[in-house]
Amino acid sequence: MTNLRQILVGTKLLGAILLIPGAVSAQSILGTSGLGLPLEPMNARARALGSVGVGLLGGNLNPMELASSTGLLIPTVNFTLQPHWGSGSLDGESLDSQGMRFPLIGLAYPASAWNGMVTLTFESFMDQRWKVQEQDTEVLAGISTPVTNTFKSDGGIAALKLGWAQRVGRSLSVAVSAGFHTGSVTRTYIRTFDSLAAVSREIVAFTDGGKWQYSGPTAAVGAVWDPSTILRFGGSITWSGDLDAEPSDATKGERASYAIPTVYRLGASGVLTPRLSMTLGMSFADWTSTKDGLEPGTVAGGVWSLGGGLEWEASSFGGRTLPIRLGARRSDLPFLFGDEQPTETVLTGGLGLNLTQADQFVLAGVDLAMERGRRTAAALSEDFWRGSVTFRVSGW
Amino acid sequence: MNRLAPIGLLALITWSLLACQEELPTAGRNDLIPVEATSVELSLPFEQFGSNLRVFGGFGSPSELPYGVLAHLYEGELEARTLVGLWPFPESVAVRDTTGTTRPDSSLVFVGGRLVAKFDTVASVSDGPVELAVGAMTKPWHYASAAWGVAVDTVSDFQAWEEEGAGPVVPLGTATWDPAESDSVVFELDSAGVAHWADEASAAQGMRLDALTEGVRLQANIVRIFLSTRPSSNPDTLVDLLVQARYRTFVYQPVLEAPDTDIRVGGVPAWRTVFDVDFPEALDGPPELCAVVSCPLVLEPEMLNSASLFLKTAETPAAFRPSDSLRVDVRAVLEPERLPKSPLGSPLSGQVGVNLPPESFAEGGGVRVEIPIGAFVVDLIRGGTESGGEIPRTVALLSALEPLSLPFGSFHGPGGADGPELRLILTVGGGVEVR
Repeated sequence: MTNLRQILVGTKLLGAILLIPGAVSAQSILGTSGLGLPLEPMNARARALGSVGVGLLGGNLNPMELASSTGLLIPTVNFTLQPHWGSGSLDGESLDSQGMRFPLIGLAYPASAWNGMVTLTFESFMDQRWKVQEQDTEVLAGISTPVTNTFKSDGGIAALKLGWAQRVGRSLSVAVSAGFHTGSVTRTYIRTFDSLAAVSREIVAFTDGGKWQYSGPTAAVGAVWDPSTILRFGGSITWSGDLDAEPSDATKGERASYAIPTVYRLGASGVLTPRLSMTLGMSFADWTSTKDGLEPGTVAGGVWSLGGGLEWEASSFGGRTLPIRLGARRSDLPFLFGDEQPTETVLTGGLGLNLTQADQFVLAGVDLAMERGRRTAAALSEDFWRGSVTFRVSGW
Repeated sequence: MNRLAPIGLLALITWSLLACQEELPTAGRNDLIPVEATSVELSLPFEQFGSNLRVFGGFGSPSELPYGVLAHLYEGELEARTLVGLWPFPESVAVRDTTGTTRPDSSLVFVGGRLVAKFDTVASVSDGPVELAVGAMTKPWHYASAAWGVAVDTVSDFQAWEEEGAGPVVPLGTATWDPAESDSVVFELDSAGVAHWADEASAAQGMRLDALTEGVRLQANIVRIFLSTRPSSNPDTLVDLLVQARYRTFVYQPVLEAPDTDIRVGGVPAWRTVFDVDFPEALDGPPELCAVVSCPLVLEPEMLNSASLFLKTAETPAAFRPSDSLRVDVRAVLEPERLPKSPLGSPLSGQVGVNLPPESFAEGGGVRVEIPIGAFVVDLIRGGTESGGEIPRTVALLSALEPLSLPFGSFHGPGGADGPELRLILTVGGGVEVR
């Protein structure tokens, strides 16, 4: 009965969080290419450590490595919000962006009888929010009339997964999860006319566009192995079926289907001193097969990501730990921009605040991360600050 | 730490929410817009979108206007006379007697009076002082149907004037109105003059106001009489009593025939021009369109940026040329089979007509007038309203306020280079896809 109540409370917490709009994110003009700007569903701790999301010490509710959720031991809900501020230039034109995304929401609940953990995660995948505006002229009735062409994309792709993590022996945990991609995008083209210069006293904008709903299966398997108390290896494989974009009834545009590549992730962490640990990781995905669903010359091919960092438990207050994290990461992005493959390089930092702690269990905590990064491709250069805040509530 | 935790959490949330205001990155690059579109402007002659143009008259009556018109050989032809019916004279008045007590007195002796007419100096056309005449009507008339040759024209009664032009009348006097000095003219009336309206029937018959000076067209806004009476209770005192106009109308000639080809709008009774609309589903020209898009172009509502009916003013008969603005409207004819009495829809231009200054109808005409009808054309292209309802296929051009004035506007009809045109601005292209 108590378990049922706990599940209901956890589900309510998760449901309340799911109501927050904009579950996917990205914040770059690079989102104009391909399926958008990838946004990995990582929590603030992984962000602060420059991690690719696998091989982190301790218990984590991380969809890239659900196996480590067995270390949580108690019911846990967490959600991550991600404010960002960016500025950059493209062919000398300045670009500014700002916004808030919610890349990860998760629930983990222990199934003690089977020594396992049930997980439910709602995770971001691609951010498709961007806007492009162009000034042009059209000759109407012999008069050169200024027009403004605007193309706006609003939406993104997310994934909802149900998982199971199982401890096998003392040092190994494995996990499997399955779910589906979801989300939608509304794409709108608007041409407005300069009403002062227009030849007509009443001229309205031209608007075309549509809405597409995304769907498609996805699943993941993963494992963490602790060969000793100071060393952890982790890895996962995330598979996705074709991602279908189905137009709404009012949309004239066609449906589309994209092959989403399998993503391989590998990471490791080691304890260097009693207070200091280090993590390293890498991921790879071959996007080549996705090119069939996209415009020619859009897909880069192989996409690598490498990163790592240090975690130092600087001090403790009243028995609570205060980890300080630093890291760096370099990632390829899968969709070409100006015929070049974009890269994202970030320096990361952050800390964890354990607000309520009972023995080794953190009942309420917050992880913070701040990244200073740069994305470059052809004539585009973007500098950005990206924050991450993960709220954790356990053992309610 | 326990005290700091809530403060830290609050600060954290505040910091996070600082970025809640969404600002999308916006680039000004056309190569990032995955859509190509072309905008074109084209004009369709009347024959490509309309047919069966005809002009109807007779809407409204001069009595519906809040003023009367007087004219004498205006532009060599227009005659107009204002007829005013009066309320019965007052039967009693409260006066102070020789003892200083105010009491009603019903033994009134009307010793004379003043008829005051106030003119609209802007709408009136004259070269200087105008001589005017007032006469007492001798025959009953029906204010809503009276015309130059007809005193009564109702379902059950028809009576012509004994003399055309609302005659005869008993002359009561003349006066001169100088627009440079005043907006009003006063006719002094003697006791014999006011005695013509002493009973209720005579008062209702009222008076006729004429312009005697040639070449003028005047607009009389207010006509009233101030009666001078000597009460029996205080015979040394003269009291002025106001008698208001009960009816007011005007009669005029010539009454024009409907034009054969031109478009006519306005006047009183008002003119309306009606035509049927047959909008093409696809355009296979003109060449400027097919030069930028593949023809035939099947029209879709989303393509339309602007649709306006263009008219060119024609020379209006000088006597009826507007001296004030004319507001031209276009409305759907809801039941064409009941024309000319069909009800009309709301303005298709989305506003209360298009205002045209009087210069638009100056000698020679030739002024191009745009009447936006975008929403209507969108419905025509769609083949129905947005909610699926039927759309009228007949429209009427008319004065936005009907009747508005004696003058009317003329426009060139179809069949010539100056005929009506439908100008469209279309944007072709778009085709937004998800990839």
